[in-house]
Formats: sequence, C-alpha cells, structure tokens
Amino acid sequence: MKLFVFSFFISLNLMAQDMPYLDTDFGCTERADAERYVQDFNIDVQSFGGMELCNSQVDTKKLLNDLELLEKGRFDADGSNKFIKGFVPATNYYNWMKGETRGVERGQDVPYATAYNSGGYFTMQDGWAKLSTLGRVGTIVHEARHTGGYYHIQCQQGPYQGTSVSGCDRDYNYGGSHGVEMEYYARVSVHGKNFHPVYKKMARLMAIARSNIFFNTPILKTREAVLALSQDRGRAELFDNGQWINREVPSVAGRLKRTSFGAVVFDGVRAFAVELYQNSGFRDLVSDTYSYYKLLRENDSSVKDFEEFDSGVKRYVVRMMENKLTPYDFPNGKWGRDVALPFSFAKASTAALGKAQTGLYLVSTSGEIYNYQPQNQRITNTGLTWGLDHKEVIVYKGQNLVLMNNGQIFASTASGLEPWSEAKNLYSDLVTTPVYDGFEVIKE
Amino acid sequence: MKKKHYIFFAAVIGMALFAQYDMGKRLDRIRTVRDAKNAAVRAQEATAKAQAEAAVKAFGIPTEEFVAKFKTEAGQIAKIQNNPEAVQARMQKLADEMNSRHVEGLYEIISDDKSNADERALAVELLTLKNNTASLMALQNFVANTKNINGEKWDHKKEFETVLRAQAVEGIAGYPEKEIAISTLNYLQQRVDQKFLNDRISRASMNLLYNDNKNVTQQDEEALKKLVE
Ligand SMILES: [Zn+2]
Repeated sequence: MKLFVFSFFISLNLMAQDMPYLDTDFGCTERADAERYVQDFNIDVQSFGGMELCNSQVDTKKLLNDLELLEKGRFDADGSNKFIKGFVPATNYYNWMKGETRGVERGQDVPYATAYNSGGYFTMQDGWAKLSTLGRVGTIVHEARHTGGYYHIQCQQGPYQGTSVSGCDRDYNYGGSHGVEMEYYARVSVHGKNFHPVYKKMARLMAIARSNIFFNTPILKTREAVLALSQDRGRAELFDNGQWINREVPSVAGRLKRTSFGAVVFDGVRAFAVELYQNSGFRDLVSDTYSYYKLLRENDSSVKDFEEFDSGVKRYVVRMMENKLTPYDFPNGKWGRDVALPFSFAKASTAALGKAQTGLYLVSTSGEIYNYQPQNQRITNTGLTWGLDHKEVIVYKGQNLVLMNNGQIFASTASGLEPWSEAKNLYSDLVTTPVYDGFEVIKE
Repeated sequence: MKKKHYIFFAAVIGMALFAQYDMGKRLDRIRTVRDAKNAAVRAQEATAKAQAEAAVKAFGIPTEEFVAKFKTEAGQIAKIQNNPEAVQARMQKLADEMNSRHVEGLYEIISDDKSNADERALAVELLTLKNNTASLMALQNFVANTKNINGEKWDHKKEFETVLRAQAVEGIAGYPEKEIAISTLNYLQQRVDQKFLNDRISRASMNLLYNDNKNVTQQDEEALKKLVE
C-alpha cells in the first residue's frame, strides 16, 4: 500500500525528532556511575549476569536503573519542613541506602520471596527481576530498612491474613520496611519532579493499594458516615466528620439500606436513592440505578431482603427469600446458586450487637441471629438473639450503635448500652454509608 | 602612470562593478527562483505531511514502527525524566498514532501477566490516552476478565495486578463521553468483587455523577500528602 510506505517514510523522519532513537547510548548508564554503584553497594555483578550498561534485559542493568532512580530522583521542595519529617530523608535516598547496604547479590534460593536481607547483604530473587521498575526500586528501599532491625509480624487482615509467613507491619508509624516503601511511593506520587508519568501514576496506585494489604492497621479507609431517618421520616440526617447535616429523603415507606454508592430506601421491590452529597430541592422519587439494588429491578416480590456487604477482601451481594438466600456471582454477572436457610427468615442486618465485624446476619422469625459466611456459603447460629426493643444495629468506628424501637440511639460500651452522645434527636431508621469524597487517613 | 593605464583601470573597475551589479541581479534572480522553489517544496512537504498525518489518523503508524516506539518508551519508565511534560506529549502522540491492531496488541500485553511489567503499565496508559471505543473496550474487558490471556485466573495477591486494573478503571472514568464512562463502570461494578477495585469503581462513578466531588486522583493525592507531610 503506497499510503503506508509513504507515511512510514515521513514518520521515520518525525520519529527521529521526537524520540532519541538515533542516539545509540539512549537509555545506557554512564560507566562512571555504574562503577560507583557497584562499589558503593558492593554489588556481585557476576551474579546479576555481568556488567551491562545498556540492555535492560540483563539484571545488572535493572539494578543500575534502580540505583540511578534512587540517586537522581528529585522531590519538590516547596513548602515547609516536609523533608525533615519522615522515615528516610527525601533528599538523600541514595546515601541512606548506601549506609544500610553491605552487599547485593542475585540468587534464587528463597523462591517465595522477592528479595531478602541477611545482615545487610541483600539477595534479589527471580521475583524481584520480574517486577516493574517501581516495584524493584520499592523492594530495594524495603530491604534496606530491614538492616535497621525492623521485622514483620503476622497479618491480621488483608489477603495475607491467616498465612504463616510474617508479612505485615503493625501500622505506618512503626516506620518498618512496608512504611518506608510506602513513604517512597507516596513521595514519588505527590512530590516527584523528574520521574516518568507512568512511574508516578504507578507509585500513587501502588501506595493506595498497599495501604490496606501490609499493615495490620490499614492506612487508608473508605470514610463512613451514619445516616439516620427522622421520626416523621420527613428528612434524613447525616453524621459525617463529627457534624450532623440535613439531607432529603424519598418519601416512600421502606427500610433504609446501605449500598456501595451510599444509601437507599428499599420498599421490598424497589430502591430509591438518598442524596448524600447535596439537596436537590425537589422531592421527586429517584429510582436507584447505580447500586446493586438495580439487580432487583425486574424481580418479583418474593425477595424479602437484600444486602451488600464486605467480608475479607471481597464484596458480596445477597438476596434473601422466605427460606433461601442467593449470592450474586460477580465473575459471571448473574445470580448464583441458592443456599437453603434452616430457619424461617425475618430480616437481615450487616451488624449484630456483640460483633464488632460487619458481615451478613440473618434474623429468624423467632429472633435467633445466624451468620452467613460468603467464602464457604455456610450458615451458622451465632447464639445471639435480636433484642425485642432493637430496631437496627450498625457498626460505626468499631463500635455497635443500636436504634431502639422508641427512636433512641444507644452505643455499646464496656459497661453495656449507653445513650450515644452524638444523637441529637429521635430517629426511625439507621445505617452507615460509605462517603466517596475522600479517604480516612490513619497515620497514628 | 600613463593615461592609457587610467582608461584600462577604469574599464576594469567598470567591468568589475558591472559584473558585481550583474552578479547581484543574477543572485537576486536565483534567490527569487530558489525561494519560489522552496515555497513550492514547502507547500509540497506540508501537503505530504498533512497527508501523512491523515494517513496516520486513519490507519495508524506501521506496526514495526509502533512496536519500536512502544518499547523505547517503556524503557524510559526506568529512567530519570527531566521534562515529564514532553514525555506526556510523546505518549499522547503515540496513542494518537495507534490503529486498531495496535490496540488489540496492547490488550494482549496487559492481559498477559508474563509480559514485561513496565510495558503493561505503559500499555494501559496508551489505551487510556487513545480514548476511542476499541481502547475503552480493551480496558473494560481487562478489568472484567477473571482470567489472564493464558487462561489462568489473575492473581489477586499480586498487588501489581490489582494496580494495573485500578489504572484501567481510571482510564475508563476519563473517557470523554461521560455517559459511556458511567455505564462502563456500572457494568464493571457487577463483575468485580475484589473490594479494593470495587471501591475504585464506585469512587470513580460517584465523581462522574457528582461533578463537584474531587476526582479519584485528587483524593489519592490528598490522602498521600497527609502521610508524607
Ligand atoms: Zn520485608
């Protein structure tokens, strides 16, 4: 095709202008830098495949790239004393690294690890070589912190919970290996000056993703608010950031429900959205078309209840009928197989008084509380009973709140139920809702 | 000096002056012709360039060239960049030059966990910058699929796998036609049960539905600032 050949010729010329292709040294490490890195970090070059300045397929070159990024990466210094704070001085990653490293070699003796540190000697495994550049740099920073005597403990939450490998840190403030790695990613994302845009973006996402994996106290959480319905059901009150705000509520009979998008009033067949972020000034009913309640839109009235909830690292959606429940099958985008209920179902709740963890609790017509475990689809009797004067139970900031039938809200404390100090009125309904305009940051 | 000589010299000077004058005129003429020729060449070149650009727009650049540029750019992720804006512009240009075969190729790269990790991240970025239906579908299917291109379930424990998908979610959220972005996210919300990704999808949708909310990138950066300041 002529057009193709022609454009190829033109583009080759243009290409030479905007990509430094014709420069054969493009992407190569300066020999003097390489020699300095080898000396400063006592690198066993042979174990990395021999000296290589240009070809990033060779592990030596990967390591040289990583050290160059650590040495020459710059962080925006405007603002006050942000660089004095922190675990590692932001202006001095290279020297800090150098001080924590006695030697670096390449091996594959601990295949399940990415790298390990033995008395300041790092052994980078195959896992390290397969990582992204950002992941490799993060790993080196991580390993260096171990030299200072920072060790991991078992994971109490997240995907590694229950595994025998000690892979987590207590929290961010401990300043362990996960903390310094996190700090590096956060700095690259927020203050990085001379990094590739993709490297920066990956750093942001890596920091956010890891914040909930490797710390027993997760660093970033979805913010939660309490939503209560006034006794006359005429308005909703949102308790967020220590303040109550009035919100409109759809004037329809039904139960207030938490959704992945906020909250709805669910009348058993349809769900109507509660506006959390603004008051529209209109009292029209807005069908909820965004949360999982839309899955019920064409369903019959045999559905008695519906819940969205999180358990472990997954989100679940379950619908309940008289004597069975059905979990939603996400990968296949349809309802899964029914699970029979060994009792007569009355209502569902994502919290039960006496349980600090949210989940799916099923209340029988005789008041017994069962727990549905979505991982293995088992239903177990909790031994708890639903209080006759209890209308709703929620978990807010690790504490149970109970809405009584008389409209009062009580909080569960060590000495039993006490009136919740934040409650200002009497209410007819109560849920927690996720708030998506920012994160809750847990640094202390 | 004899008078004859004066005449001779005058004649020589006159001839020289004339020659110079003539030369100047000739040069002017040459310059005019050359300029005209240059203008014609420039016009021709401009037309050629416009045609080439139109061709690139319609068919993309040749695959061999695309692959070379793609590999070079992926290699740049491991290097210090003193002009990140120029890098961004370069990636945008490369995305603009992509054709549907390149989009398909990038989809295969991101869906293969054995591909080079920097190349996968760049591929998601280029699909984000491409902003056409094919690239949007590639990102959507990448997030929705439970399996890699080699038929294995993608490993939820590898945070890089999660991060790549979160990056793709942001690409979808940034699609210029908001309604399409929202409906795509909506579809994904019914497919993805991993809490972290599901949260990212919900967050991105909420931002599109309520314009005044901070977008997800801003929320991330605000949170990370709190950590390091
Ligand atoms: Zn470690």
